Amino acid sequence: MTRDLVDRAKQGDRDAFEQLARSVATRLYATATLILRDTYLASDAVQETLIEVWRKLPMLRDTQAFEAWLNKILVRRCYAAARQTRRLQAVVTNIEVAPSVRSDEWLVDARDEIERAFRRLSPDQRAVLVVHHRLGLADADAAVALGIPVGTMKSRLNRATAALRASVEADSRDVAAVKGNVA
Amino acid sequence: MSSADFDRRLNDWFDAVEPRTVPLDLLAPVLRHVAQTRQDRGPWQRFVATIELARRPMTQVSWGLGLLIVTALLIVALAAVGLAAGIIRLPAKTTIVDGLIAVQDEIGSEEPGSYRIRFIDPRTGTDVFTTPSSVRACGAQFSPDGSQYAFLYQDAGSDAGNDISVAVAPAVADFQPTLLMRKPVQMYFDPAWAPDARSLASTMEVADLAFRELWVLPADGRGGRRLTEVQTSFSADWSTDGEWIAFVGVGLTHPLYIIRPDGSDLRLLVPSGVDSVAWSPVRRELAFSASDARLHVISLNGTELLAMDDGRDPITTDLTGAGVIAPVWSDDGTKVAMVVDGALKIFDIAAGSVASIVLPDPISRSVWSASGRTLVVVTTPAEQVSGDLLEVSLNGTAPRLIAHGVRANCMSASAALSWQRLTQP
Repeated sequence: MTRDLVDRAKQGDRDAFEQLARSVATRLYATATLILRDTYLASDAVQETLIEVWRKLPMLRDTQAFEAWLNKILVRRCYAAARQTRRLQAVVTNIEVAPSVRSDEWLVDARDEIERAFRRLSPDQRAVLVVHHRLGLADADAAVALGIPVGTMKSRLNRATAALRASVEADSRDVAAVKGNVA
Repeated sequence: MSSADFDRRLNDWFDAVEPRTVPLDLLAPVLRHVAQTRQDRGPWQRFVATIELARRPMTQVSWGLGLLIVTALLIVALAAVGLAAGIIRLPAKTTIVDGLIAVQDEIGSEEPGSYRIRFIDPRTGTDVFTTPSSVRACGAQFSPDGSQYAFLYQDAGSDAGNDISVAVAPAVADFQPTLLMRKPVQMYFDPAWAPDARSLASTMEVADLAFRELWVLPADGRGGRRLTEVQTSFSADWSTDGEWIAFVGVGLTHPLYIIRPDGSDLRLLVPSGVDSVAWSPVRRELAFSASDARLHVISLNGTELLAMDDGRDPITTDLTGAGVIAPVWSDDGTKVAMVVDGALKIFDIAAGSVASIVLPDPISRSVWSASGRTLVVVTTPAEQVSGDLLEVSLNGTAPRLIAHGVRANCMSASAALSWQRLTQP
């Protein structure tokens, strides 16, 4: 079914492309949201991915490679969106001082250690974890999606996992210490 | 914790946070784009097309090429002759410079006060001229060429509830207004001049109704007309190429529409959450402030190009603050200024950065200089209605006081601060 849609969309069939886009949108959006941890940026990344897919589909020689090609474009667009986030976070001058975070709020936040630890990872570390754990791609396919050699993918996965674990464990220690102080 | 336990915990978290559905409007911009664009051709397709062209009879190709070259040479020759004979003149290089600043104040202590518009030289802070005391006037907005201004007025001596008029007048001391419309309501006036300065678009309050309408008013006073039946909010703006008017609808959703100046081709660009809208002065792009406390920039087909936090708390954001957080583009289209909670936020669209300028008193209005290096703002101390006109620089130097005793608002006027642009050879 998907291959037929890809073939027709490749020939410029807009209806086929719409069906194709609808069939992959949820998965793309879920993946982008996990990598970027921002629904607005994820929407942007998915939209740009689909537009690039439409434009470049005639150049895809092997329609069986569509999924891998799609993942590769999505990951690249997520990296671009993450770079944009870094730019947007460059707040410059004279912003009023934010109220300090209360300890009870901090404790509530601390419950979601993985969320916070995951956000601390770089976009390429988040991407390798999502591609490997969530999409369940084999090493070779994951490397294609990330646009890097297999060896690099494996070492990046190891580093990302270690960084995530270290961050989660550090947070757990901090939460325990704060709870001890509060008690 | 073992690796397997950690992987399981990570996968549980993925399960918990992974969205199961997509936003309703996710695919709409993509499909619009697809409907309007063709697919790229790769090197192979281009090669095939070249071969196809090469296989056509040479005479056909040669004749086409020859005709093209002869036509081009003919045009060049005619242009050269025209230039030499003085028939064709190259456009003189001109510079856009800052002129006067229009802002209002209130004279007399009785209620209602008597408003007047002051036309102030920003270098000296002196009033070059003011509107006469025979009318209550305010809300001046200069035309793009700086030759005239639109404003609200009321005959002095009448009560505040009486007719209010929209007029235009030449930007000179001799007060000769042309009446565009008179209405027996307090109309919130936020005019957008057409680029050719022949018309204005503005949303108008309709008597006894709880909504507003989008009107286009010819500047020569030949009578305005309602553009659409769609009920509007406060914000409307005319595109720089003159082909579209953007406006914000009312209801619970506050959608963003564009429409042709003749009332045709109404299009919904953003379904909800829009506060105030402004066209880029250099591109077919729109900036709008929104209920998600972000400044958005979108293209004409609704594709979002940029979204930047504007510093508001989205939970407490109130969309009813008409024009309070209206975006204002710099003339070169690289920056947008917005007044948010009394602070001036400067969004650098190209760099994707935000700067905030906080002055001792809350800022109410802002307008860019032609160079884009400074802005003029009205600050109003708490519990007071009049304040100062200040020039603030983006390089962090201390603000410069231009004039005291000016008002950011009067008679429901929104566009109550305007900086004239003049063309110099």
